[in-house]
Amino acid sequence: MQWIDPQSIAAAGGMAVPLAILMLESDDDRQFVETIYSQYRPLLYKVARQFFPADSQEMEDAVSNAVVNLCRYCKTIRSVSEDKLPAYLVCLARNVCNAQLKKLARQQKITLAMEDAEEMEDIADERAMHEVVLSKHNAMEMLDSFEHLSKRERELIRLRHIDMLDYEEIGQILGLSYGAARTAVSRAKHKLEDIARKQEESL
Amino acid sequence: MSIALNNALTMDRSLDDMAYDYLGQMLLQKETEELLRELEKEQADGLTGEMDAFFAQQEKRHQKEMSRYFCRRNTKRLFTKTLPGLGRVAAIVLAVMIAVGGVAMAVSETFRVRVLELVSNLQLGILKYEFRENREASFDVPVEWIGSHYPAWIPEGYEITNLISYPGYSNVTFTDPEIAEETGASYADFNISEQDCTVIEFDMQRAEISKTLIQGFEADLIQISDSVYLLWTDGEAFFQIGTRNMSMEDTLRFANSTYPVWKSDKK
Repeated sequence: MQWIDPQSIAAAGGMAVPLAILMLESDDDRQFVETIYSQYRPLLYKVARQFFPADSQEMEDAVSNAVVNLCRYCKTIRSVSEDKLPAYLVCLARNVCNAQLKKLARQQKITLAMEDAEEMEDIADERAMHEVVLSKHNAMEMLDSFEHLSKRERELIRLRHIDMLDYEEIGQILGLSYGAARTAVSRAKHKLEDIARKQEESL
Repeated sequence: MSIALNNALTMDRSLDDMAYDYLGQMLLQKETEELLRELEKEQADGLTGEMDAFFAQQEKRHQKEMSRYFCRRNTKRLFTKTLPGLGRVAAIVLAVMIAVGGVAMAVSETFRVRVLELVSNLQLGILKYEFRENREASFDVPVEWIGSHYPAWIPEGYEITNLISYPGYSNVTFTDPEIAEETGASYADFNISEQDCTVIEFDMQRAEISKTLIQGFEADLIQISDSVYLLWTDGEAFFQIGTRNMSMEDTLRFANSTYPVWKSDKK
């Protein structure tokens, strides 16, 4: 039987912490997650806002769900170094938001149709090894070029390579078929490589 | 290792994907740093109004969840049938006491609730009525308490060891530290529910139930060995009192001392 220590309620400067945190069995874990939550909740808010800028209810759910995952992965998070922790939390919040988007898409509450949708042909994803193995140098150049992509192209790459979603999941979020999602991601990456190449040539 | 990398290990990803995953990691780091800088700037410029409003809303939600949770937990599970038998019931009560004891609060501040009474005096053929404070009956309430009522009389030597107060549900537990040290189970518990989530179940195998009056309202009095429970309503709130190792006289006095708390008296 688990009992909650109400001391947690008064913690974090009198802030009412999410119930999920209070449900943690170990005092140590509870204190740890509370600290993380009070310190980084603005960051969770920022990520949620990027996904749901006009829907405060979804934002609230996203932050709450992020806290639930924070509790769920508490042990893992403890092993993350302090300098990597913010990025880890952003990733965690993004995953939660993506899950919500998928759910919304399933409920057909949103239709995130591709704004500049076009004929999608299935582009082969595999390329020659020498073309795709990115050295740190190349990755830095591509990173600099990333901002030159459209909003949608940036999100496609984020979904695939930060959030590690498969094409089916990307398709669910963006309202695309598997093939179209794969094509769109591939095109975004090609475009990124082109921009990086051109920038390098211009230097 | 990030969640992303953890996931990557379990997924079937092409060489192209893995190469870009590296870019993804750098991108995540870069965008996180940008977000942190943005936050820092907003805080420095005092532009956090929207976020503050969001978290104020979020806190209300948390408070509601907690209120609902504690309300259910402290009532339903405390007296639930799931662990029948007196010994087990006592064990649950004890567990609650241990879990919440020591906590609760450093109740640092209180506000005074004045009890007013009508006094009549006949002198030299003049009957005089006076509405004045009964200083002896007036009592202190912790500032954290937001329930509509509070027990004005606390048995001597008893101290607050737990206080939970949220909109719709408040609970305060008093224990006698000396007795608690000896037996670990002497307390007076006052609960007030002002929402409809309260469910209480008693194991009636060894319980005796009778009726009594608390402040003019009919109350159920349940005795289970050395524990006494009183439950009544004034039509607006549901009151529950539980005591252990306390005389019936003190228990009834404790219950009858329940007074409305007027927030305007808050100092």
